[in-house]
Amino acid sequence: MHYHGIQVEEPLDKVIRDWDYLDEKVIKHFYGFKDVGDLVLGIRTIERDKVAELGQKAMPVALPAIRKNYEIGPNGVVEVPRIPFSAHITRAGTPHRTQYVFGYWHINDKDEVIVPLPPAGDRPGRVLIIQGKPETGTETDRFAWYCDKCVTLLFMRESSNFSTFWVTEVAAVRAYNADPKNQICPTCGHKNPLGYSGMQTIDRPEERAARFVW
Amino acid sequence: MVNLGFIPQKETIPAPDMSFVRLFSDARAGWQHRGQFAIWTGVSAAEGPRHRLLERVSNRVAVIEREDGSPVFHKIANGSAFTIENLTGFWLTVDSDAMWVDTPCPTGRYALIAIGGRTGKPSRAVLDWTCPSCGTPINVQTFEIPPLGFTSFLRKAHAATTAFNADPQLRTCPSCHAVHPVVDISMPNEAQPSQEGES
Repeated sequence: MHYHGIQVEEPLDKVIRDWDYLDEKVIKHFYGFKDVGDLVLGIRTIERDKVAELGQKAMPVALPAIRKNYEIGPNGVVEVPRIPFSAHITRAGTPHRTQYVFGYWHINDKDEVIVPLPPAGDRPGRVLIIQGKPETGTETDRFAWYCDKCVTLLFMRESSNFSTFWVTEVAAVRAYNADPKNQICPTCGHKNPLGYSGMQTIDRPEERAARFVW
Repeated sequence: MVNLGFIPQKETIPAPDMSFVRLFSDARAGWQHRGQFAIWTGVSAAEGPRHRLLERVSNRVAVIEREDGSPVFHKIANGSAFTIENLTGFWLTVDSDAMWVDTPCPTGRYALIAIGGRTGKPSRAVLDWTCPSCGTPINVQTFEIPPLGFTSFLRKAHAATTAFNADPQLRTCPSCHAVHPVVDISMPNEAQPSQEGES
């Protein structure tokens, strides 16, 4: 580097506020989703191997190591890997789901860049999520349920106001769960499991039970 | 063929672009502008030259790294000038935010930059060089970036860098008259055609 004479010598915190979102003082703001300028970011920690029991202390949104990730494409449901040190780009419009983490298919109008960082030393494994901030009124988040057996769409709610993401998400989960008819496939008659929120700390007992299932 | 009233399709209906993966260890991947982000990932060996993010802050240069080498997840704010050592050769300012990931790995370090996210962005880039003596931007040029056209912008940036190297006048700081050294333009910015769009 030929900039030694003009290099910033003081700590970066002094010249760029919150310059590293992995900093222990900052990271907690990203446990859900946080919009920062043009972007919405999330940082997920791989907290434990399995799903936490109801009442067990846990982060609001965390990843069990045993989870799998799925997307729906032209050939139906496919498992998509989360390879350490990679960027998986889930394209806008692709229904996607993380097993044991959120009990619905998320379909949004923004590409999501997913970066798994493996554990190292005392640092837990983490997954970084980068996406553009949806435009209010024109770009949506959808919460959908498809039949486990035949992928028929069962139920869906949508929001075009990202600032109410979690409120809409929980309302969609509770609306889907409220009527057993929502969970029965009109095509094949399969009875599908209940949904659950990405915020595991608000689970009701039946929702936590569903989290262990799918 | 059953015709349900639609005009028969003579050619295959193109499938929508699907999700894809970039492995940080794949140094051939280069830049891709696919979907809503222009993305580059790279690898540097433990003992070799590494990709470091430099940001210009009030005519000074901030090195975006941790002393202990631990991972960094940093936002390059819309309108901030930055360069990536051993990658770009020039300084870049775009009209959208970007995210930078720099992490140790068993063989050295990996890095990622993702520019964009907002619909239609990045659409404008300012390219310049930073005077090593006083931090003033040198030879400032503005480029429009067409939709999904970040890699075509990189070709223009390469041409501008070649011209910068060829003419000491272009490399002379307007403030302090120091002459910027010639920059390395052999660095691979762009994915090879065979890699473009691969899953």
